[in-house]
Amino acid sequence: MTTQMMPIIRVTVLYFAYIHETTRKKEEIMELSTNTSIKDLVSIILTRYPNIKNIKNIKISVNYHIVNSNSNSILKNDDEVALLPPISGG
Amino acid sequence: MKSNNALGPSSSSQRITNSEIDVNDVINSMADIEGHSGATVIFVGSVRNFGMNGKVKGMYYESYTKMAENKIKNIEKLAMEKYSIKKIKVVHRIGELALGNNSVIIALSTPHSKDAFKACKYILARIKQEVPIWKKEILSKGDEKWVDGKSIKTN
Repeated sequence: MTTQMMPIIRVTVLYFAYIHETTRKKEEIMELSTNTSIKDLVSIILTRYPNIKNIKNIKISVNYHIVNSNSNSILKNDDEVALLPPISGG
Repeated sequence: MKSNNALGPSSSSQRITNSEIDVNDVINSMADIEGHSGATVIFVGSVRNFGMNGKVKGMYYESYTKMAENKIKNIEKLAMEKYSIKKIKVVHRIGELALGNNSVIIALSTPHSKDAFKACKYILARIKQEVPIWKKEILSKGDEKWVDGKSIKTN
């Protein structure tokens, strides 16, 4: 049987502050199918790291801009996605 | 000729640093021999010995540096337009800080003092609301706890 290569994109996912204590890593490269939306990626991340659900008010950024975590916008190759818990600078 | 006269937020200088913030350098950078400004206000934030989780012996700061730099530049730009700022310098330190170390400095000069005080408060408030920086208290009793923060404000 021949398998058709599924086209993929690679995105970098960054985990900040107490999120990386849950994921045990600060960043990773994820290979995703070309039609993956922001909403899909959030769901993939939450399936992989279910404890992230316990952290309230996480914001998602794509290429340094905050986006809606329910967005159907499609991710592109080399996008940088970050999970940002509530901030405490100053 | 390179001019130190701030027409807009400087794009080259660092807003996020791993090194000690030299307050005197920042004060000197506000000097304005042409006399456009009549007022300079400087805010220095430093590590306090008590925090949200009790007695503190140090603080660890982490940032999403590229986004934090962008956000601070944008805050400077908005403040400059709003308060007629002539010179501005905003730096936040990250990494491990000891008690009394400076974590953040905001320096700016304006023609009138009223605007300088207002602008300084405005910038500090927006840093706390928008800039992706997190701090962890290193407690005297030995453990470490992230500070409960505020959800990043989006416009």
